[in-house]
Amino acid sequence: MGVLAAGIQLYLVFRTDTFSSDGSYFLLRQAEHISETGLPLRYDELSHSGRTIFGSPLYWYLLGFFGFVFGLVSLKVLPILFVFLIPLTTYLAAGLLVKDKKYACIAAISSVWLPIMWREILNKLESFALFIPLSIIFFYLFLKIDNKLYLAPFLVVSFFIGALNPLVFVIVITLIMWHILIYVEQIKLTAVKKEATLFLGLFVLLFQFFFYKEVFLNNGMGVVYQNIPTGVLQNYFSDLSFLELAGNIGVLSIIFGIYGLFRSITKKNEVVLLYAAFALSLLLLLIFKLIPLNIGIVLLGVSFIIVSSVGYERFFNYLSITKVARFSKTIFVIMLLLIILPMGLQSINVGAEAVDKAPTPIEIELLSFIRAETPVSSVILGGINEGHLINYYTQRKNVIDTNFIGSGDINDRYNAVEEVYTTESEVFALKNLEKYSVDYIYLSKDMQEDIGKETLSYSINEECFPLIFQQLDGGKLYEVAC
Amino acid sequence: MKWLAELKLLIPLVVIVGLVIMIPQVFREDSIIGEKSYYYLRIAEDPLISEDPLSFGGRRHVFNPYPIIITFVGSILGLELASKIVPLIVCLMIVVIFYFILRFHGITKTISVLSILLLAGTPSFLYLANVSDTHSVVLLLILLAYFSQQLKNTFFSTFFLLPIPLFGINYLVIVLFLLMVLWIHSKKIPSIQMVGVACVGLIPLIRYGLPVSLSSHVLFPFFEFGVINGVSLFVLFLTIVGFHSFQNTKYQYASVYALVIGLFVLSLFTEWGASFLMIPASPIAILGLQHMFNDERGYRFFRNAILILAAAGVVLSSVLAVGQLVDAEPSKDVFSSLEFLRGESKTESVVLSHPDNGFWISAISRNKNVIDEHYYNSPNLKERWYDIQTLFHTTDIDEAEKVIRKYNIKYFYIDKDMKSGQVWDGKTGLLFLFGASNKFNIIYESEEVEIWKSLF
Repeated sequence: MGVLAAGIQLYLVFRTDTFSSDGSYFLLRQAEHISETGLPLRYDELSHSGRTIFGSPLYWYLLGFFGFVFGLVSLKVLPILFVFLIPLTTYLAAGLLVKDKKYACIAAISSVWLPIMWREILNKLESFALFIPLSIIFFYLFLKIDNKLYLAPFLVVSFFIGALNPLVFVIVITLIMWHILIYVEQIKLTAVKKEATLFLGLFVLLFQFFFYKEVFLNNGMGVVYQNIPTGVLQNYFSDLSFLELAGNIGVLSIIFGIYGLFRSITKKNEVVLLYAAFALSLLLLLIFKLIPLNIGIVLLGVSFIIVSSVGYERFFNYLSITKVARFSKTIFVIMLLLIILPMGLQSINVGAEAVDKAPTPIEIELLSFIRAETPVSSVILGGINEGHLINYYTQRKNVIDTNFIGSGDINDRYNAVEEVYTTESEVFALKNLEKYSVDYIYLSKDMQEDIGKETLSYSINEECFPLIFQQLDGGKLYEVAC
Repeated sequence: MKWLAELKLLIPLVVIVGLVIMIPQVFREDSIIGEKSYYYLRIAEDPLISEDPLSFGGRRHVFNPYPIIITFVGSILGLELASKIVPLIVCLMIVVIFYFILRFHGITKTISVLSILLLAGTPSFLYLANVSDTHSVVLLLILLAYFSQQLKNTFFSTFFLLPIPLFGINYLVIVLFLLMVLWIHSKKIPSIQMVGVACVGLIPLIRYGLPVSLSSHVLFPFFEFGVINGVSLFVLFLTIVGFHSFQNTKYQYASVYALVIGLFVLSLFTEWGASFLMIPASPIAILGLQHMFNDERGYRFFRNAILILAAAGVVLSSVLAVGQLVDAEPSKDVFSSLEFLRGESKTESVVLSHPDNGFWISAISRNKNVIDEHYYNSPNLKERWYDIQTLFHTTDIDEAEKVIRKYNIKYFYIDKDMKSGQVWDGKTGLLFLFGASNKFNIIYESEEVEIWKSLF
């Protein structure tokens, strides 16, 4: 099933040469820089017209390595490879919860067809794709750590997960929550697990603090919101609704997940409690809007799917003592079909939509024009979700992009960009354009849809804002001549 | 305890700690660190004044014994050097007393030394040792009182506790809290000290009234989240491990639990709580590590890794804290701007700025501030604050003029923090009026500071 899904995913991503998220282009530039120089880009002259880049370079090196050895095309395959690991790790994790491995199989199959995962990972380069299988395998190894054979793999995975992404704090919070639940349930824990928790907590704190120290010290508690502009923050962490949850994770996985959770939680089972702690931590982080909704739902979905294996096992064990026991196999098959068919179709549909969001050849043509026809030192103003794309294809400076962490005046920048695109006043537009030394304004098709107009209101002054390039049913490029 | 034998270990320890805590002062160029340190420096010129002409445009002075210490040391070294030296010396005295307290309680030499080294490296202790403020002296008095109490010397214990409320009425809370912890610990009410401290506490209360505050919000007192004198998360992490190692001792350490939890709660509301918290936290953290190392049930690898990570974390925090103290405000730019203002204004003019800059305005530029952070017994604080907020945010020139005339404001001192969120987001309010009206003239502009002159 995983191979089938991977095949479909490969087919979908190779329908386009481009990537579906703006952040992927930043990672692509990092990978190229590492391939060429062996070092990550620590000062980016193009992003925000020049700024320091913060973060752990581990994932950038991974991309750089793949880009260097297999070519940049291989980076399209890499996220699919990571996603391919998810059913394998889910099977292992669920295997700790159930006696009969066929129920672990159902969980693994469910994890293949998780629509929101297809939407969030397909044709995107973000490290989140690797974080999911790593977090599942981390929990598996953590639970097995009492056996010394698992110590070395645990350390390797801890290093990778701790150095990959600040999302690792979700794992740390989960472990703290798990210790609280264990204490409440009065379960005796081994010294090794306590040490492993302390080790990971200190490692993550030290590692993340080392790479983000300036951000931590300058932004204080604001670092929790990743310096996201106030205007974006309102949409970034949307509210959580049950319908959204059910549609993206699967009704069966939620029902059997909750059922499994309740049936096992009373048995003082530390394995189930770990996934309960994971789900609880994610729910709390989502409620307090501390992690983006999409990422939270994917992780929540994975935790529900793993625990749903217990629900399936209990359900079929119950069936076996009822009069419908002889239909057990038929019900099992029907249940599998109920998981695979609707979720599979939805996943493919959502995946195709995600791939279609990638920049079209027409957009690339305009960006290539900018690269060919504008001075190298030009500053191009684009939307907040087009900044990295502009950097990558035009090799010119942008005013804003989604790399918010470490940008000192992010709200000013965001408000200025918003004002340039939406204001009717030439004076206000020029004030902002002058402030950020903008030479050209890129008005993409997406931006035209966002602002609800095809031209900039003040561009009627053609002397000040000459239209340099215009595509039929596509983007526009204005020069700032005043 | 053989006192003289302890000195063999204590002297090199004090030298090492001294070298560590003086690093920020060594690397920092001439100016002293902090805001309130400039207030004490100015008051130390005449610590017995009854009226302070520069604070809040002129107000009744609230007596504090701390500037007297600066004056005394300053009579030999000069006031500015005294402001740097006094906190260092007081912190070294804290180290000595703390060492004796640990040894008195039967803590081994190794653990005592490690605890003190950990304490010396914490950001809040480095801050305590480098910023001239009352906190270090109060902490020293508390430790002296506690040690005297342990030596069954009630007279000295009371003697050291009594002056504490005079250093700041807020300290009354910590003293009463500590006496209650002592009560839990010894199961005997320290009645003499309690009555004594309460009586001395009444003096400022009767003379100056109840403490006031403009806003009461919970602090997030962690160094790693940008609070320069906050608790290091690494030390806190180890303290929790230490507490975990006490879990089988039932209620034997109830007073220690109460002390640490109480001080942590205090650190959420006061800027000095974190520094006080580090005193009990550091030995608990070291004891926790020792307990973990003696526990053979886990993996040796984890134990070694945890020790290395914890040490690396503490060292990283210390190094960053030193860096932050070296670069702490007032910067060279701020200092130059205030010296410019001193030359420009000639007489004691009224300068409006954020309360954070009030002490510098009166101490460095020698002008009157409209408001500073010395809120206790300040004249019409709420009304003043309301007027200032009105002036900062109004775009009505008539409304602005009314406030400017009311306080006779001559200069506006605007720094980069005020322009980036502390007061304004963008050119609104008074910043808009500066550009739109001809009643204001910019007389100084640098990377960090703008000074505007009122022409009303």
